[in-house]
Amino acid sequence: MTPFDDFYRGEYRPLLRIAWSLTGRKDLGEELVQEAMVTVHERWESVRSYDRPGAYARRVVLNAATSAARRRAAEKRAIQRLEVEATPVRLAPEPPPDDEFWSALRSLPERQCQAVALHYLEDRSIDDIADVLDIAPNTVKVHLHRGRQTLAETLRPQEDDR
Amino acid sequence: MTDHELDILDRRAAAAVADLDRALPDGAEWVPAHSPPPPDRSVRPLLLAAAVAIVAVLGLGLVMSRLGEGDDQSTVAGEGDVGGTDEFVRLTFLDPAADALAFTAAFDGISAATDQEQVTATIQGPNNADDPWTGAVQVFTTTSEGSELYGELVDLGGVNGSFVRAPIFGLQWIDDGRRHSLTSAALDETALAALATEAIASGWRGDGPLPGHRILHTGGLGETFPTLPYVSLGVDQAVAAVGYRSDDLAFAVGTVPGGESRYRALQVFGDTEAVQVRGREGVIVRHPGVGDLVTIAWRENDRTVAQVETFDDPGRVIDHLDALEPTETASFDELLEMRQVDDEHRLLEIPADELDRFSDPDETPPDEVMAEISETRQGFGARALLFRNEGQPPSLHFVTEDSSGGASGTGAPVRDLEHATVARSSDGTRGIFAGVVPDAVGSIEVEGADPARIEDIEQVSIGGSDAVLFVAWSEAAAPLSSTVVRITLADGRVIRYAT
Repeated sequence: MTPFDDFYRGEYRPLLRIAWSLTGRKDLGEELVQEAMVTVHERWESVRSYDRPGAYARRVVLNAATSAARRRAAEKRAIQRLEVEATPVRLAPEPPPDDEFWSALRSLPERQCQAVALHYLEDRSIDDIADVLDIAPNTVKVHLHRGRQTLAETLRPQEDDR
Repeated sequence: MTDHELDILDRRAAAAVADLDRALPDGAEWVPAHSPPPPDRSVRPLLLAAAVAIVAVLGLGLVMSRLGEGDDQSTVAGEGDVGGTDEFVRLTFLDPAADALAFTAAFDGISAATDQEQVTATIQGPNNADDPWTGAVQVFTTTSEGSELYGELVDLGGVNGSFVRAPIFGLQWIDDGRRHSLTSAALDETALAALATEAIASGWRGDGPLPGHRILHTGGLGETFPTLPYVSLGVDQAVAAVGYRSDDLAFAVGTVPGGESRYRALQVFGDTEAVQVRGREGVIVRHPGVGDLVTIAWRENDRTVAQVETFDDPGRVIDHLDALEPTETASFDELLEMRQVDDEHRLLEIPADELDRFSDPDETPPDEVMAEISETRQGFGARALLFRNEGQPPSLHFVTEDSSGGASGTGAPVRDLEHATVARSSDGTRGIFAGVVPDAVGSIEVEGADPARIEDIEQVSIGGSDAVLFVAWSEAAAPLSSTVVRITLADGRVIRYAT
């Protein structure tokens, strides 16, 4: 068992939790986590020396999830532009449980979404989130505050219905 | 927002996280992977927006065809490269903050790859010219599954060819499963058609120089087009360029291996302006029709071409470039190690802002609409708009909607009003065509289709010209068997157009 094997075993589920909830698709989430792990593995000699290798892996996954969201939007625009009478692709995306909540989270601006996700999914401190996102703690506070407010407003009607 | 409401949110979040935990699979085992996934996997349509830019440049035909396989051309040294003792170097701001810049993102040359990377292109110039670059033609050949051509058809000595007029002028033809493309900013349609006709007659098959020409440079498509300058690097490196930002400037600095021919190649399709950069002769390259992207390029040394991409004022960007430091690749990689590659960065999505106009006409102010038709016939609604785009070619936007509410839309750049641009929408049995032609439409036929004639034609004049915008509905009696329309204009001219 190598140190990287241990890292992989320990981090796979937490990373998949982030990737699944932020992409809304389990298959894509698994793919992003695998790609992130490949990236970490390639740089393992450096990454292992970091204080928190997991923070690096999270940054990779968060960026990949954001890129995936942008990519879907770009693909949609491109298909509209190109027309090409494309046959709709049938996918089995398997959204996460309670995707109403995660979907609302995904609709937040990028940094708010990432900060709130780390806050709820991993119960991370402001400093931890700042470390993962490579931004200042005060900036994290702002993103968290605004993100939670927006999320509460978005979900409020549903809460009232319950 | 009250604390109570935030408490409700927190409880909802906790429940959602718990549900997610229960649904997660058990731990997974690491399967060693020693190399990154290949860049051309189907799950990596990463730079689709950039690919769209290539589509815009090369015409739909390239995408519709199956691109050549096995044409390994990771970077072929240009024949005109100048040798030298200098090593290839990177350029970085060792301390961006000292120059009031923030380090933003690294662009990954590997993940930026698309299928188009596999296409080898040559830049060729006439043998007898004092400066062959002034008559340069980009030439590439791909394998083609189909025989479709797109654009205005032209006879090349018995072989059909089609002009791709916007945003960069080109000509394509298909010969025995190979699609040949000639693209040029220097030749007009007569000269390009004559060159293609001569090539076909001589038995040229895509290998070697065209008749009367010599190869000036060989490389990937990305070496000549903006938005994909990092596709065909051909050196073992993961990171191709680095983005920097100040309060009001954003630009990416990349260096690519190559000499004079590579430097000239990236200027072939742009409007150039000579400048001094870092005490060297450099050039600002603008790319009409491909958005507002500006490239600043210079030769850092005999083996290194530097390219800076920006949407902002190039003069102000140049002021920052003096602080760049040559850096060995190993040091460069080390510098970037903690930074995440951003393969969706805006600088690689160009020209999304421009192209977005095609997909969302509502975003365009009404005073930019040059002509519009909105009609419903035979159960098909059609809306065609011609937009004036400041500093860019006009664009044709075409949206159709059937009685069930199904809608589709397409956009096409219009090089000018002197030539035809036609778009098609079809449900397989019926077709609607929209286009811009240089004179009033007399009649339209769909070649090979039954019925062959289109009776429903709406057309409006485009102010200040003889050109018209038209929409034509085919009758609903039979499947379309052809995508070629024959348009007879009021002045007698006949245009055959493949859509």
